[in-house]
Amino acid sequence: MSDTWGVATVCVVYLALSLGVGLWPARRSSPTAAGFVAGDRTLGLVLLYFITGATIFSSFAFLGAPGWAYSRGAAAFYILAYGALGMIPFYFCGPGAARVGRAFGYVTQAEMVADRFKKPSIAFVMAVVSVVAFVPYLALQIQGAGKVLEVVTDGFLPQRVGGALVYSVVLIYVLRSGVLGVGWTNTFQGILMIGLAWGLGLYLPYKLYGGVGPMFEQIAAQRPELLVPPGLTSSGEPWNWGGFTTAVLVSILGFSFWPHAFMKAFTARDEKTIRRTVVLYPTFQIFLVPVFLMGFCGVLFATAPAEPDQILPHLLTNLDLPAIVVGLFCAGALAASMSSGDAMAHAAGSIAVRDGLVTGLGVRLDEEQQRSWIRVAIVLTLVAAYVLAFLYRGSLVALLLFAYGPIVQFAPIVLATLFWRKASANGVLWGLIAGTVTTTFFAIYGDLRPFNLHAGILGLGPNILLLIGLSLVSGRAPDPHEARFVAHARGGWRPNS
Amino acid sequence: MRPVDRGRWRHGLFAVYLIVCLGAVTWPGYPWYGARIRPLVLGLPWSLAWLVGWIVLTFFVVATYEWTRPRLDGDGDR
Repeated sequence: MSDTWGVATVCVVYLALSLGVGLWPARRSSPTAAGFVAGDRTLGLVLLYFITGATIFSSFAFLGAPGWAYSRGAAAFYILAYGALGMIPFYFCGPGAARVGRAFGYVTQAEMVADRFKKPSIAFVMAVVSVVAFVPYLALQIQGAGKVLEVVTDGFLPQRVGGALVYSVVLIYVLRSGVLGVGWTNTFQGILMIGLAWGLGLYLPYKLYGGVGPMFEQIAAQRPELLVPPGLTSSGEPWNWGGFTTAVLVSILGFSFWPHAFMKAFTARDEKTIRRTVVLYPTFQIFLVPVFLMGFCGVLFATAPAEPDQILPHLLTNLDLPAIVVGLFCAGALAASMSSGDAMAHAAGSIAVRDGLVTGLGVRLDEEQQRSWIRVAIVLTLVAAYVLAFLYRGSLVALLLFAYGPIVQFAPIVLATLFWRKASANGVLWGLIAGTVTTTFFAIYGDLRPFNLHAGILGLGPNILLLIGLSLVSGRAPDPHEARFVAHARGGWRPNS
Repeated sequence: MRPVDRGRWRHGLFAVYLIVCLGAVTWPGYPWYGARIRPLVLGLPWSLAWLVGWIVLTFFVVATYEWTRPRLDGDGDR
């Protein structure tokens, strides 16, 4: 392809801009762990909107989602279905967490849970589960970024080199600027993602079929099964409603409680900012519609890519498009990967040190030492993810689905911690462990799942049972610290009450 | 007395909406009313337009829920 240099130039300009935007806020936070992890609790609506939006939409949004629409049709719509309600738990939990965070100084989800019950082992278990879940997720982002560069440069930049290049940029701005670097780059990347999705999503159907309506008329005539939910499985069989519905439920429950998303509650300037972020979230989420349109463009296209995930790069490199359009798409896909990867690397480092070392194992570190150790942990996480991305031979998507189940187990734990006075330390700890073990079991032995239900949903049964059972059995006298904690979380705390 | 009643109605209606919406975008509402191709809405098949419609509706419902929020003392807002 003669335009390779044009495309590569657009990508390099985009990476340089990301780096600049990411380094710019380096000096604006205090040199403490709270400054590095939570931005000193100063983030306003614009930053929080783009952090939550851009963090949630990873490279899956630009590669996986069109790939699903292309190969599995309406099955992809489940991402829209859960998006309708996905942020609602955060509308209630976010402000509660922000209030206790401000009152007691928390910057991560696990230290909040562990401190209410004064039980460090809870933080340790949550830290291990979170980091184990983050590494394959991050590895997928690195693979996605590397693959995009490889395809659009016609193999000039191999996937490993591209992945390393893109994530070196991420590493530099996350280490220098902490959560503010994540926030400002996500704002830039989020605007780019939304703009490109709408631009390309409307342009491609127009160029190939003469419009969105004519495109769907043709697909309805030739491949109607793709447009009727619940769509198809990855092997092309009809999917079932049990699978579709529990995939939506698990996503709604997991969504708000992924630690890198949840801990952004501690960065907010005030609670109103969090609630308004949730209100505005659908305006970001609706950009999946043009993303699906791009995927559907491939259905009746003359040639097929090697893998469904490559449908967009395949279309763009095979349509005679100007280099700038291909380059911008490439930048958008990199933005989607980086805006999730940076938040995950940052969260994994923060959680490993704050929750694993300091709270869980009781290692004494002052604020500046924590900040240094968090940086070391971020480097280690990225290196581990990179190694996994390019050395692991199995399916990373399977690893990720595996990781999603344990994260869902955080939902009842965090809800009970914030709002249920009678919750007890043992109920929370054993509920979490039982849920994680159950979901892991059904993830490994998928055939034993009743009604094809998602393993994460099956884990919730023992989790909630033990959480409620052990809490009610313990029946201990209310502890003044916990009473204060729950009063703060519910928003009814008065200094003299 | 009155503000309490209004608060209850507000929460109750919101909870009912969330349940209805969840049922509409998954089983059983989606297979009943959403699982067809026609009519096309703004060029989109009905199955896709159905979900977009619920997202738009949810946006307005959550926004209304937020704007009608009673002002409480000490809830930390500035």
